[in-house]
Amino acid sequence: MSATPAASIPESPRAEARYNVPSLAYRVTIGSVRGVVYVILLVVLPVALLNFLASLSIPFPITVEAEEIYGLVVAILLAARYVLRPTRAYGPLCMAVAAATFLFFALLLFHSTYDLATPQSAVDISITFTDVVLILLLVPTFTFFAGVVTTIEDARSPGERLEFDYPP
Amino acid sequence: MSALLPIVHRIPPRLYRTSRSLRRVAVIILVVLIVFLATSAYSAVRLITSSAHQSGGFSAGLASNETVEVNGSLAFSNPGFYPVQGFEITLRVLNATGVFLGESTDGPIVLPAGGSTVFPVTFTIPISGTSAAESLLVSDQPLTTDAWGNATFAFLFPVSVRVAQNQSWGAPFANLAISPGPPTGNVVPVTISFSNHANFPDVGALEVALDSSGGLRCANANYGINEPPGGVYSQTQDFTLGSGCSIQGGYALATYTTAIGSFVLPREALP
Repeated sequence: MSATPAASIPESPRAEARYNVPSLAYRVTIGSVRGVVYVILLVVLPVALLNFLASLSIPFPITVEAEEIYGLVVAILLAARYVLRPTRAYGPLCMAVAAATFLFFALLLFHSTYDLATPQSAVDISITFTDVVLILLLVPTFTFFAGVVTTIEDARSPGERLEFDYPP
Repeated sequence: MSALLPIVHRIPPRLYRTSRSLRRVAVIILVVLIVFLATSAYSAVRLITSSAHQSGGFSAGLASNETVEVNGSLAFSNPGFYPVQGFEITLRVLNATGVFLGESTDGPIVLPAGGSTVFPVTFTIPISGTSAAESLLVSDQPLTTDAWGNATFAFLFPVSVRVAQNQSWGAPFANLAISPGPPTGNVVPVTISFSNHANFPDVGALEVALDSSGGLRCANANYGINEPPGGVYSQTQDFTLGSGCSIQGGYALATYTTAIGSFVLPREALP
């Protein structure tokens, strides 16, 4: 792992020497591995769970396609965010991940009354999880504003955060 | 030269600290929510598997305000981590043709976490006022009961359960027949017969009035009854008609009087 100031935000030579920014090749390699892990966590496992529930005749308010699109988009953005962390693209990518997650949760919010009507049964159960989704929306909201602050920081003082993101 | 400089850990700039704090708050919320959702799911499974069971059975009987009253209780245990709040049950009964007969609500109660409680259920069906309601006294019929249970689970999850069931209703004066025999002068023998298909006894007096087609009361008499569930009643009694009063084409009106009140049965047309 070697320092690669060229891939990072321009900064003073004195500061560059003190950072431990991984090389682009290293970040791409690790980012790819992370991407695979994200795909497993955000696409494979949720889709398997949705299919399992569907096999039990338990429909879920979110379709498999919506979950796949969200999972793939966020997995790619998260991997890209890792690779581009030393650059100015990091803040906007944080905002993009948060926005995608916010949209997904908002979609969940519109379907937050889960009606479970079992076929051939006289029992109908419905559960509303609107409050939980509203609280969950705080997560992408906070991360979105964290991305905004990082973007402002990178614009005002390029390279300032590298000292703390990649301590020597 | 730079390698010789001492490493100095300085406080991160304000914007960096703000961004880091926002991310940490988001992570804390996410972790707390994941723990909450996991324990909620676990508690819900424990609650469902413990399920409600009948406590002491249900009893039905005639009540003072011209209703049939069903009383009973359901015992619930909640072995999970979160309470069930505002739990109430609403029952609605329709007859076989879909005519609304009655509605009743019990609750709300709180089912505490890790505890158990007995939920008293009282349901009343009016048996007066409409022909559909009155027919419950004399006609066996299938009834549709819709039961809704509403509650808030784990503070944040409003849950609604609906159970639709068909029940068979056994009338306390099933197949009631008031049959006048051939008159002798102004004396008419009248036979009353019915079966008690209800699961409570018919104890009291049945006052039967014979009216002319013009609504004039011709005669009335009392029949003492003490019919257990499943019993068949049949008794003949002579009625002395008022002078000039004819019951041909008229009506018989029976009123059941018991310790808790009087219940008017649907009137019967006389031949």
